[in-house]
Amino acid sequence: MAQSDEVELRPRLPLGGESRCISFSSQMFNSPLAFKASSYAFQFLVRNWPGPQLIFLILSAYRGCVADVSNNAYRAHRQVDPSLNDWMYFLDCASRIFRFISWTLQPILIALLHSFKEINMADHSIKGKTVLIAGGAKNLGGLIARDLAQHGAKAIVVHFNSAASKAEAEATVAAVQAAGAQAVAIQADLTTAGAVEKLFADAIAAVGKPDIAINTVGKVLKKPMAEISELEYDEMTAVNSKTAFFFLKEAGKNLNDNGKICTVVTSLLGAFTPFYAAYAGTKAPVEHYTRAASKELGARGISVTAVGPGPMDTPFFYPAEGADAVAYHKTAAALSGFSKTGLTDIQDVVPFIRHLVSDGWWITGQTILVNGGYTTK
Amino acid sequence: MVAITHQEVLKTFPSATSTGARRFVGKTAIVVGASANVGKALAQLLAQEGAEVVVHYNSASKQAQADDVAAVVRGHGQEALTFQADLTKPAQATALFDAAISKFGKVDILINTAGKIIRKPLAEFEEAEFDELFNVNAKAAFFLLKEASKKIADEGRILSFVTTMVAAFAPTYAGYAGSKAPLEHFSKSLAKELGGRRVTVNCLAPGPLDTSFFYPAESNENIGWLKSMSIDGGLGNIADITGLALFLVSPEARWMTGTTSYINGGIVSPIN
Repeated sequence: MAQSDEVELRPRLPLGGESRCISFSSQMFNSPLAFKASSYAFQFLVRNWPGPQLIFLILSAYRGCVADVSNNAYRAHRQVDPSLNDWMYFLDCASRIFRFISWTLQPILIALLHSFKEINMADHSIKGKTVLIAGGAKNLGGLIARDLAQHGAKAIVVHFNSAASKAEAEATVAAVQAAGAQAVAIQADLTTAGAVEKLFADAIAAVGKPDIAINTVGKVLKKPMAEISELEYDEMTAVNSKTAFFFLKEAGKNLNDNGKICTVVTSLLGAFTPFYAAYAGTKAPVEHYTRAASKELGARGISVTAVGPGPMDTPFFYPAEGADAVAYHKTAAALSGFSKTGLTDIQDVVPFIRHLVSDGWWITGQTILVNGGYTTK
Repeated sequence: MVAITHQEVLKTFPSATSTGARRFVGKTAIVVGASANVGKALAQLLAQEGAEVVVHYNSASKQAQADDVAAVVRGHGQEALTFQADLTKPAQATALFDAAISKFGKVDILINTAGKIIRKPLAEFEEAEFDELFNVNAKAAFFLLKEASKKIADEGRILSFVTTMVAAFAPTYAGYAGSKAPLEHFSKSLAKELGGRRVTVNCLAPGPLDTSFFYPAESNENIGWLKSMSIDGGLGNIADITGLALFLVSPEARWMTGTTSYINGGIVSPIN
């Protein structure tokens, strides 16, 4: 290696002489193992040294190689034929340098671009993700919590609304912990913007910024419009429309990039039927929040969706329904003959939500009904 | 590409009303938001076709304009009642209907043109803005429909204005489209509940119109975008939508209920 022109290389690459440079690069180019190794090396470099430093590093490595090459070539030529003039020598060097660069630069660039691509593609699996579930203590939300824990989530925040759900919240926390994830239960009435803000702040303080935020909160009312009081109307709006709005707002502000947000609505959004004006009507806005939020958050890689299950076999569903209505709902889905009661089983909704907040990330802005063919929109 | 220029649309063209139709003789109509814009146009056209009209306005600052509309109604030989009500308070929806029935004996037609636009990203919405938007666009509409469900005459017609943006997929409309979407579901539910009395309940989803209602929430950039999507590169006019609105509350439309009709110069079109 040249002595007087030695350039401080960081790191010191095992190069010396033109032929060794070329053989090194062709090895990298032709050997998958060497290519992979150099790709990982570049990923390590890119992750640990910011862009400008890395470019400097690559350029200084090149400067070292080129200086080495040109010095060796110069000495070799002078030894062989002192009559060679400097102009011819310059051309000869230039052609050697060009050949050298094209041999070595190409595989290095390929490895570099490959490593950049791998870094920019996000990891969409559930593994290692932090999850916040509003209404995560019981029913559909409780099963989602257990399911995501089993699929490798790192931490799950289980929100619940009232003291009556505390025992179920604790049972869900225990089940999540048994599956190997961190879990914490937080109680909050989410019908004000401030409460939703606080939920996210408390969740972040407990387990860090969420990657996935799922809102399963809802309230049913089944009555002719003529009989709905102002109090009932306001309560339905607060729980179904306002909570969902500010949950989306706060999730958008607090989620990690490439995160996922999903809100649970209702298959009644595809129905044409009396008595559900206050329920379908107050869940309907979520579809429009979802559309706007997906456009507003897309630049950060965040997917935003809504899922409308059919009527589910849970304590959420039965209180509002008379016996005749229940009998109708149990036969109304095309696939009613194949679920446990004819209603939607929560086990048939959870995998779809899990898909949306992981591999299904390319679905965004959509409201999708998962209901065995109960209604369609 | 463009068959009809924006300038041609501005010229008067024959409408059912202008060619002498008298579809609403003997009918009483409540027009909510009748002091200006589309509501004002509809109040006048209904009177021209024989209806008695209740001219509703929401704040005292609009009383003079409401009185002008009432004068036009009377000019057509029909009776008019002006009535101020802040419909975000359900009791005032009751008062509006009771006043109408007290004067005219019945209400056959309810047209609700009221609305409010706040257009910004979710991240910038304050709670007070959410409350205001939902109070005006959803809650007031709900309690009007509730009153109508109890007091509208058999074979009545209810028409609510939503927005064409409920069929759009765009940023900044979470609040506006979100707060108008409930009205579609209120209408559909009511359509089923009142069908037995042969009352039809529908929504109209106009696109952006060249009126004072539209501009306050808009930026030049967004106006340009909306215009670029229309069939003639412009906004719609009130006269473009009054024909459809009147049809939907006419006797001829008895078989149309639970629908949302989009009339927007082609800026968006939902599949279903």
